[in-house]
Amino acid sequence: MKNRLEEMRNLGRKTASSPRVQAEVKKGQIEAQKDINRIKSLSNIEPERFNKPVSI
Amino acid sequence: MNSLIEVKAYSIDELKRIFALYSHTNLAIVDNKRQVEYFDSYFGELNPKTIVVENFYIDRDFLNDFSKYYVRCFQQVIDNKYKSRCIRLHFFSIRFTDDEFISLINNNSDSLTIDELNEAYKGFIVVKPIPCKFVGRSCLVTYGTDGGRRHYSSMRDYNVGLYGIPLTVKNTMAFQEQDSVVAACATSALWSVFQITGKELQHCIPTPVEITELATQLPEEMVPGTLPNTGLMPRQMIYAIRQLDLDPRVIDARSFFLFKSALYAYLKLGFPMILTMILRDTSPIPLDDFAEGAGHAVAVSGYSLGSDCEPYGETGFKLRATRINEIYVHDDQVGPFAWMKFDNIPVTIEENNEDTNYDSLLTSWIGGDGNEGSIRAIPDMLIIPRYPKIRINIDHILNVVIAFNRQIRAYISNVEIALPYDFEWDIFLSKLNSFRHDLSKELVNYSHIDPDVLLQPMPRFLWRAVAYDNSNKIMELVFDATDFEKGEFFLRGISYNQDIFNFIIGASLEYISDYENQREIIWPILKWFSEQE
Repeated sequence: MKNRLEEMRNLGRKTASSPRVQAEVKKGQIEAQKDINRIKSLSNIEPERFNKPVSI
Repeated sequence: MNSLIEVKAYSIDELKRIFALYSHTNLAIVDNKRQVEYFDSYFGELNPKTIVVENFYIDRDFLNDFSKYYVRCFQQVIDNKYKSRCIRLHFFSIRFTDDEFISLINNNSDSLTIDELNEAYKGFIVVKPIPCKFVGRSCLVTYGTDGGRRHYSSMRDYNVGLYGIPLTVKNTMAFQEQDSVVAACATSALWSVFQITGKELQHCIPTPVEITELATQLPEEMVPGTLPNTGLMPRQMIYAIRQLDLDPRVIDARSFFLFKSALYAYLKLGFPMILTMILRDTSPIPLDDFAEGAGHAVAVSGYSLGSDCEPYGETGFKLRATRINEIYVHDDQVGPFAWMKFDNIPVTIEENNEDTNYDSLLTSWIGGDGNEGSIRAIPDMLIIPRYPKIRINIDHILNVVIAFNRQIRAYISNVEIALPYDFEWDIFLSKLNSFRHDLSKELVNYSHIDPDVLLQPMPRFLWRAVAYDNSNKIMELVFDATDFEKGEFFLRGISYNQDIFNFIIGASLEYISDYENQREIIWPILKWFSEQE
């Protein structure tokens, strides 16, 4: 059991240190930043919408 | 027969007759009333057999409305035209006679018991003594869950005293229609929402007229003629929520991703919310009021989950909330728990002299062509009354989890052995007690989880992000919802898949070795993983 735990942790560290994976990480960070920016832009509501009557 | 109590066999015609009689409304008007049509179909599901008419009922909400407005009407002063008393109709799914019911009240019934009555209780409708707008406080049980598809999250029990018989309407949210005098749709929606938040967060539950008064006290809006009220603006609704010491969070509902995310996350906590929208009649010859679009508000209390997520953005992020294909709303112009459906049909409205397409919802509103659904809803804002200590917003949690998901996908998808990496994330707000309750159930299935996690001091409100591979739980990230965005608000991870958890621990050691990464929003999460070595 302990061997499996160590094996997975070593595999994680080895994978994360690979230049190919680090390039993939960078690419992923750019994609994630685009999604984050899109969500941030959706978080601002135009002030005039707060003044529209809700009256039906 | 006692004149204070009547016991009737249920039929929609009997219900219409009672509505017409006690509200002094022409039967033809009752017949064509949208809410009555809705009750006909709703009761088709609930299948009541008996109505008990409580002929003398004082309703706090209506009495307050009456004292603030109707009592001073000229017709009332000279001719007692309007009454302050209501009647209340109770619905039961068993048949019994008035003699059997009176015997039960007198404690000498041998054919009907209080337990049987409670078991068969489907709820009540208060009938207000005003023409046309007579549907008062109504607490009815919900539709069934339809195999777990429907979720009604923001509910409470309503205790009822019926001549000494204790009854309970379980898991519902009160509904009433606007009277178009002291309350418009926005007021009715706020009133329903406050029914739940008041119980949950211990604030007073204002009556419709009190809500209108609170909203119209917004300093810039102090204009003569608060009543009769023809509607509120979103900023007035927000002001009314603030007046009750709640913290309103406003989400742009035109983005369906954010709309569904917030709706799901807050309803899971048990908080109902207001949805404002533009209703537009898409019929060839539209109704005048809806031809250009008209503002409306409803109280959202539930949702239905379909089987598929809609991957979001560049990262293709899969969020369980995007499976929502229907929402259930208290629409005062339709009825309680009315559906609105996501059917991917855009609607064009004119804004700033430009035609713009917006995603819209299918409704049960009837348009100029006489067809249900021809009036469509363009969601505008989701107004969520929150407990003020919930300070971290859904958009920030989404950003963190999207970034974390993309990062670990880059690691796991490149590993030499086969591990799942295309996760679906279930992101929601939770009370600490719910978290502990859920986790304690999981200890049986996952023996590696340290039971001491249950004893770890944690805040009252948590953001939880659970990753799934199909139906298998992979891991859970737990965040402090009461902290602040730049603070240390990541609390811990929970492992449901030891291989993946340990793999991330290993990868995180490499990640934190680069100090440049400290600027990333996922740094606190991967730092926590690295500390589990």
